[in-house]
Amino acid sequence: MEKTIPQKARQKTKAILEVRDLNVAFKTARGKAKILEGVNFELFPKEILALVGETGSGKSVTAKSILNLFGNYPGQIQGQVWFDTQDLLTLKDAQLESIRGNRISMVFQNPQSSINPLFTLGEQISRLIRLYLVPEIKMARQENNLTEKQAVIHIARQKLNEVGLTDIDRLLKSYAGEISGGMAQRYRIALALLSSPEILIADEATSALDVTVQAHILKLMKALCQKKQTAILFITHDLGIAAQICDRVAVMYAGRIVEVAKTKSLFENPLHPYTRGLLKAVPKFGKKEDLSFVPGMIPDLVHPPKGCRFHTRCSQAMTICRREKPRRVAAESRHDVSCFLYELEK
Amino acid sequence: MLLFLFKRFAGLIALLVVLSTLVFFFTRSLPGDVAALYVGGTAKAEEIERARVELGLDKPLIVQYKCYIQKLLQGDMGISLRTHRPVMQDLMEKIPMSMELVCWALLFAASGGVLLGVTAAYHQGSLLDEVIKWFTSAAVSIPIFFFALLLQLFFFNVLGWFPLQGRLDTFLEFSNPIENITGFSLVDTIITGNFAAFFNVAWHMVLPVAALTIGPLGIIARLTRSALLDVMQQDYILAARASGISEWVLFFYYGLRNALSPVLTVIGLSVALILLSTFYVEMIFNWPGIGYYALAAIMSLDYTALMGVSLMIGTVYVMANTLMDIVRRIVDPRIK
Repeated sequence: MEKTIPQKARQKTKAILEVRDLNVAFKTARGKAKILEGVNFELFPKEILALVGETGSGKSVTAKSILNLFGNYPGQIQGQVWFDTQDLLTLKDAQLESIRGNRISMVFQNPQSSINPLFTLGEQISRLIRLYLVPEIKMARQENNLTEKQAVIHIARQKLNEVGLTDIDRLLKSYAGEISGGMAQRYRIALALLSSPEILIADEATSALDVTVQAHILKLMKALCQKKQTAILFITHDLGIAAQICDRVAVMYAGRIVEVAKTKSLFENPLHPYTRGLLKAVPKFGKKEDLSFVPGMIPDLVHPPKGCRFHTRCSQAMTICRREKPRRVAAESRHDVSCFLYELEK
Repeated sequence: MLLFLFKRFAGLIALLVVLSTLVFFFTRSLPGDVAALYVGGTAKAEEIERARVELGLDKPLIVQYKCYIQKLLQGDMGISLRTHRPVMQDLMEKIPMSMELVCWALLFAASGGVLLGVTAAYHQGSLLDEVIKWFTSAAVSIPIFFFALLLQLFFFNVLGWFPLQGRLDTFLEFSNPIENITGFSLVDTIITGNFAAFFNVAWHMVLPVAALTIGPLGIIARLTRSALLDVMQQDYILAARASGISEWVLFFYYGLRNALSPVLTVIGLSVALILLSTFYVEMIFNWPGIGYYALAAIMSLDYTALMGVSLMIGTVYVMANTLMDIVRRIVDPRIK
C-alpha cells in the first residue's frame, strides 16, 4: 500500500476530504488495541456520505481522528487526512483550532450532555458567534445601529430561528438541563453550522432521539446543508437512515472500510458478505420470519484476526482470507469492495 | 434563595436542639460528682452539698434539663467547673484564637490544594503528576498529631527556625501585651500598631497552621485533580473542542469552572476536619484556643464547658456548610 499520495493524483479526485491509510491504535491495559487499520475514503463537496457499521467498528474514532479530537488520550494516529491541500494530522493545535468548528464542524450523539451545563445557551452561542462571525457582527451593527452585545444576540436569534427553534428569548437564558433532546440537537446543529462549514460530521447525531424527532432533525440537517453547500459525513448504525438521506454509503467492519458505493447500488446489490449479512438483519414489514443476523461478535482489536478481519464470521471465507489482507477493488463502477471474492475475479 | 436560607436556618435551629439535648444527657451520664468537682478536691462534705443545691444538681434530671435549656436560650451556658467563669465568656475568648488558626489553614489548604490539583491534572501522567500524587497521598495518610510532632522535632529541635509552642514569647507578654479587641491576635496587633507582637504571633502560628493544613491540602488536591480530569472527559468538552475552542480555554476556563462545585464541597467539609484537628494541634503547640480548652475540659470532667464547646463547634460546622451551599448554588445553576 502506498504511503504518500502524490499531489497530482490528489487534485484529480476533487474530493473535499480524503482519508488515506488511517491507522489508530490505543494503549489499553491488555495491550495495544488496533482500532483502525488502513481506513480510506473520500468525501466530495456537497455530498452526504454515510459511514455505517456495528458498535465498536471504529466509526466514531474515524470521525474524531479527522479533527484529532482525542485530547491527551494516549493514542497513536497514523495516515493522512487531506483537507484543502493540508494534511490535518500534521497540523499544530492552533492551526487545527482554526479549522475545527469553523470549516469542519461536528454534531454528537448526546445533544444534552454536549452542552456545557453551567453556561446558558445564550452565553455559549455568543462565544462562537464572537469567534467566527466577526464581519457579520460588524454588518449587523452598522445596519441596525446596535451595540456589539445586541448584534451578537441579533445573530444568535437568526441562527436559532434557522434551525426551527421558537421562544428564543427564553431559550437564550436556559441551561442544557432545561430543554428537550430534540431542542438541544437543533441548538447544537445551529452551533455547528454557524460559520457555514465545508464539512459537517454528524456522529450518531440522531441516534439518541425519538423516532419522530429524529425525522425532523434529519430533514433539517439535510436542508440546511444543501443551502449552505456543506458536505456531511453521516455516521450511523442505522441502515434505514443511511438509505433515506445519503448519496453514498461506506460500510465499516472492525476498523476497516469493507465496501463503498452509491446508496442505491449498495442496497440493491451488496457485494461484501458482511454488508449482505447486515442488510438481511434489517426487519422487513409484513414478513413473519426469524430475523437473520451475522453470527459471532466483533473481534478483539488487541488481537485482531490475521488477514481479512471478517474471516472469522464469514461463511464464504477462503484460505487466502486467513492469510492476507484484501485490497480495495472497484467491482463495479463507483462500487468498491475489499474482499478476495472480487479481488480474485479480476 | 430566601426559602432556601430560611430552610437552612430552621435546620440549624433543629440541629442545635437535638445537639444540646444529646450533649446534656451524654455528659450527665459520665461518671464523677459535678458538685465535688466544682468545689475542689479538699472540700468538706457539707460544702459539696451546698454546692449541689447552689448548682441545682439536687433536682431531678428532667428539671435540670429544662433549666439548662431556659438558660441556654438566654445565652447562658453556665459556669465552668474548672475556670469558675461563665462558659460563654470563655468561649468568646477562645474561639477567635482557634478561628485564626482555622482560617489560615483553610486558606492555605484550599489555595495550595487547588493549585496542586490543577497542576497535576494539567500534567497528567507526567513525572510531576506522579510526584504530586505521592506527596498528596502522604499528606492525607499521615496522622495529624504525628505530623505536628515531626514539625516540632525538625523545625524547632533540629533547625531551630520556629518556636516550640505558645502564642507569644513570654517577655513580649509583658513588654507588648496584646490588647483584646476582635480576639484575632493578628488583627488586634495591627489595629493597635503592636508590630513586635504581630510578627511574634505570626512566627508562632507557622507550625500549628502547617500541621492543620497538611491533611485538607492533600484531600483538596486529590479531589481537584480527579474532578478536573473527570470534567475533561465529558461530552461537552469534546463538543467544545470540536467547535474550535482552544485547549487552554477548555482546561482553564471550562474545566475549572465545571470542576468548581465538587471542589467547593470538599473545601466545606475540610472546615470540619480542621476544627477537629485543632484539638490535637492546640494541645501539642500549647495554643490557647477552643481545642485546648475542650481537651482541658474533658480531662477535668468540666461538664458545662464541654456542653458549650460541643454546641459551639456544631454551630460553626453547620454555618460553614450552609455558607458553602450558598456559594455552590451561585456557581452551579443545576442545583435548584
